[in-house]
Amino acid sequence: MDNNLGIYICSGCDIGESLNIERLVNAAKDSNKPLVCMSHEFLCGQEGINLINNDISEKKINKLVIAACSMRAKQDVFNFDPLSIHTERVNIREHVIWISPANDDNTQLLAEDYVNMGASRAKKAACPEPLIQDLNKTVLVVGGGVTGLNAALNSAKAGYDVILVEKKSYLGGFPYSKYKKWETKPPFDKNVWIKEGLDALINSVENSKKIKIYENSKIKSVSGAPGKFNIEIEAAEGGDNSGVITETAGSIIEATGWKPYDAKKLGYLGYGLTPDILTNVELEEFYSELSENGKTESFTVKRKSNGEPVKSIAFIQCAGSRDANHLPYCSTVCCMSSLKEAALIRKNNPNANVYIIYKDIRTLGEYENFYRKMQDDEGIFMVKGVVSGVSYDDKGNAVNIKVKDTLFAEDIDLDVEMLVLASGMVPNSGEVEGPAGIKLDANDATCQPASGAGAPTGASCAAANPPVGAPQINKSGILNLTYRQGKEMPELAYGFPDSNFICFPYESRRTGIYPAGAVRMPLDTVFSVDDAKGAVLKAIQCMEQTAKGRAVHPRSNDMTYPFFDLPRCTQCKRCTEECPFGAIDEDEKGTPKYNPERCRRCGVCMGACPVRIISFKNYSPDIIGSMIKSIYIPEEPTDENYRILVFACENDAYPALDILGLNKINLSSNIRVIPVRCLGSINNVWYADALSKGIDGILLLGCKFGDDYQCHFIKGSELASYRMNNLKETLTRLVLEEERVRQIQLEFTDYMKLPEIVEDFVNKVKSLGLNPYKGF
Amino acid sequence: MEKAKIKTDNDLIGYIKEVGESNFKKCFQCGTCSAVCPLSTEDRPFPRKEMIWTGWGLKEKLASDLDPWLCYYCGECSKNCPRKAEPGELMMSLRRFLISAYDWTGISKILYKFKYAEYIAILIVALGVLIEWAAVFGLYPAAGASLGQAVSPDKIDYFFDWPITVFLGVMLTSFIYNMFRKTVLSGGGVKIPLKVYFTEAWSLVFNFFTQYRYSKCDDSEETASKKLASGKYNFWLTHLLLMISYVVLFAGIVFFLGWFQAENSLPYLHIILFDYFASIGLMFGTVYFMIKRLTKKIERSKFSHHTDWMFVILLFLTGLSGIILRASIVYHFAVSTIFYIYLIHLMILFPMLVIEVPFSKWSHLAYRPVAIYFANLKEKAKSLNLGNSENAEIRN
Repeated sequence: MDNNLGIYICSGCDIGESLNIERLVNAAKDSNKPLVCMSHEFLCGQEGINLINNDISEKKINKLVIAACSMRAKQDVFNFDPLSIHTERVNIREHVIWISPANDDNTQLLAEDYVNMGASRAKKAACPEPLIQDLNKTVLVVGGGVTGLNAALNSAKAGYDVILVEKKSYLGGFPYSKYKKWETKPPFDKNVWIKEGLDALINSVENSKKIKIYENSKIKSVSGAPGKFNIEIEAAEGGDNSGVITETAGSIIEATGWKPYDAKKLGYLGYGLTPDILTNVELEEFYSELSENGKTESFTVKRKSNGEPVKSIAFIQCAGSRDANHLPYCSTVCCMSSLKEAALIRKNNPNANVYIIYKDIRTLGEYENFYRKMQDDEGIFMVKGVVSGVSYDDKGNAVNIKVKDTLFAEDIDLDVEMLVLASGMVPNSGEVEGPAGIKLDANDATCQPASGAGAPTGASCAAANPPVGAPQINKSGILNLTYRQGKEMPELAYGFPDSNFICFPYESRRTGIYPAGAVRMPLDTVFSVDDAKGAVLKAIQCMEQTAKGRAVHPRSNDMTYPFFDLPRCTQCKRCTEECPFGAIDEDEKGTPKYNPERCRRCGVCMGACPVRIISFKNYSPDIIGSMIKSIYIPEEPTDENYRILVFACENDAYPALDILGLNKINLSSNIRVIPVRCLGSINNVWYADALSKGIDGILLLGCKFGDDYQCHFIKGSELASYRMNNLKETLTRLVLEEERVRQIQLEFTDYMKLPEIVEDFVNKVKSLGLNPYKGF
Repeated sequence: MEKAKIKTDNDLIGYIKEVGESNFKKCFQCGTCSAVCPLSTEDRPFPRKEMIWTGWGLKEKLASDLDPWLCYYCGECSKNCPRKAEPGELMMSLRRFLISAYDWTGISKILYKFKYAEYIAILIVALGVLIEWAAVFGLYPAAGASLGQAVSPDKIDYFFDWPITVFLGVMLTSFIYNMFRKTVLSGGGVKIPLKVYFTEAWSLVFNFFTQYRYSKCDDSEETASKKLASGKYNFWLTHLLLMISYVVLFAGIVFFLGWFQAENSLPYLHIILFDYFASIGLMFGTVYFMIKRLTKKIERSKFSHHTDWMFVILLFLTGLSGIILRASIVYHFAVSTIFYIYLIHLMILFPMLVIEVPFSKWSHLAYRPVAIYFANLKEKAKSLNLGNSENAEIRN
């Protein structure tokens, strides 16, 4: 690509009043030898834009350096054809004049450095060549429950072909065989038979010409990438299409739902003592049985032990939920379902008393009205408390419940005829394979890394996130991906394959595969319907973007992707291990097999590569290296002449710096900021480049990592910190203090902390003295 | 110690729902009511505790609870309740429940539950008075008889006032003993030393005559004079005035009936004081409370049970008929007229006494100060006991 460089410096927005523009233009000309270098007082105005466009057509400028405002501002104006022109935005407004004293020599130097850095980058950068392909746009929906049916139907409505795979012989999923729905609208008295609601949905799915249904079938394997997933579907023996069928899909919605928590673990709440102690799911089944599967509405609930009508029944909420020794989370549905069961008991056995013992009643949104209605029922008694023991008195055939810490301000001792344990949901996200390939109980899997079947549950829950670089828990049985990084979706916590939902609902860690419904997080059917729609939109977006060669979230529309110079690869496998999205497989030798369609363009692989064979057209070890090398390092040992390099994550840290600028809060002029796609994309060679050049300290500003990480690429900031530890050994070998490199975890809203963070680091570096390699 | 098993009494819940308008089932135990209550203490976190006890129908706990009597229904709890569960009204309903719980005859329960039962009971008593009157004085006054001859005060005392005084005394005493049994003796735990019964007796007398606790319903940090000026004490003072007037008049008719039948208009200062002023107090008080109950502007008058109305109306009519009777004597109406006015007055007064005093709303006049006395007994005994055990520990 020709290097027809044009540097345009804007003097508007007080830039002209704060800097010596003439000097800036001359410095840029001297250092970079551009074809055009000029200033304009209103570059983003029509006149300024026309000027640039003229140069593009007449002087064939294809590398634009626009020294003006932040790259996050005026994106609509400085919008030149990305496929033929590289546009480099140099931020001399937010990052220079708004945070530095006006008409100051150090401010001038800062601006000159930024222009030079931008020009160096522009010279080396090339325009992206998007990977435009004709891809498959079929949505594969795994699971035919409420979420799956809605996902299939909505995809079909949007005009996409759908393949629906269900392991059971019927559609409808978990709730289908159960009794009644809870009513979601006041006055909450029309509990419809679950089947009634679902039948209509199943009907429309079955009648849709766009939906191809595989019942009695499982996914044997998924290989490929978004737009070209190869799906092997294994149908059960005896069906219409038994054997293994191969299908192609563009994206996948994992709607595999949930299963109840293993009741055998609820022995501490009396499960197993008498048939009169059931779980909430068993009660639903019991109801279905008593109603002869919906044939009759009027029946009396009878005790399983002796067939007598139930006169008193207790519900223990959070049975094995919100409990460090069992499921540490809230399953969100048990409160509503217990209230519904209570209402049905009251309807069927009008003389029965219902006792509900809870830690908290959680009825979301309008469901609160249902709770209120039930609260008003004379035969329903609720109390907050902690169940301290359940025993069975066989003489009186009664279940005794002891409750402590109640709102009665004293312990309760209660006898009932029947007890229901409201236990929680476990995601159907795959079975864990133990070390020897032995399948572990799925319930253990939620809390336990694959360290062994005998380890106690609970305590290890907090440590469920494997250390950086370690392979994910080895699950299988749902999608059976042929990905190098594991067969199932990576989980966020407790076995739920969510991403970081705080910022990105519906987003996932495998491009083109979106978990939805109760497998993603505990949800009821109403919320699952919405979740299905969200996942469908994501799935469609992914297929369409990928076909155009554009990235999906969070670098939406990015047309670059990494290039692997494989002949130089040493098969170290770091890139294949560290890619947060499992985009890179490997062959037997360990050579990476890159799948651009699965890639999110974060550059973590580029940061990982020790031999620097991974690069983007506009972002590479060499490009950033030359930016670093273009920084002017004054040799006089004064306070102003310390140079601190700041790698700022483009997602949170860079905007935080912009906001600081907007607030016109001064920041040390010693710093030089280089935006990076993610801290995970920082290659260790840049530290060497900087320190050998004479940079005195390096500060990394990136997202929070750990359990509640905020990294947009999941592990990037954590990896940066991990790699920095290795770097510190190298520094020591070079007789450089390891304190010269520091990483700070920052949220976008933390911008007011920046002056202190920077000041603190600059002072630390000053206390260490100048970089001894300066001037070599 | 093995805790007694919890037994929910659904009938009790139904009963308490019937005798008041609290939505106690709506309570989710946030505790706002007890937090804002000016009278609730850490040891006695009412009405929060009563809300859940009632919601669960814990009859024994409620029957042994003194706290409903310690509440004066300022209404702060009801005003601040986030669920509009009306805790203040629950305390009112519980007082009705407690009146029927102390009453071993079971009459109160019926009167509270059924509006018509109360009307019928009043009619029966009125009829009884008519029959007794006919038996004692005949249906017509003897021709030419003076008032003293036609309606002899001695006979009124002998056949009406004294029997009723004995009846009321016996009933109330037995109910209060019942209350003592349920609230003080049943508690288990601390034994009350005999001495304490006497040392704490002052609180009974003090609270009976001042209703001082009522004044504490307003806990704003203003001076007493400011509260008085801004009308914050109006309810308390009117209530006190009504009660004092009532007591004075009752003592008057029982012990000094002659004064009321004296034919000269302004004989003695004490007659003016006891008779006229007390009558005015009675009229003023009852009218004041009737207006409050009709306008429903303040929390404590928002809900009126039929027994509330019956009590205040009977009291008003008693006062009114009494004043008319007195006027007819002072202005020398024909004896035959006075004879019938007298009869009507008694036919109002006696139902009021027989029905209201032991079995209905009047009884709070007795139970409130007694409850404060009992509560003090228990507290005192507890603190003594605590001191003893601490001493014991030190000795050991």
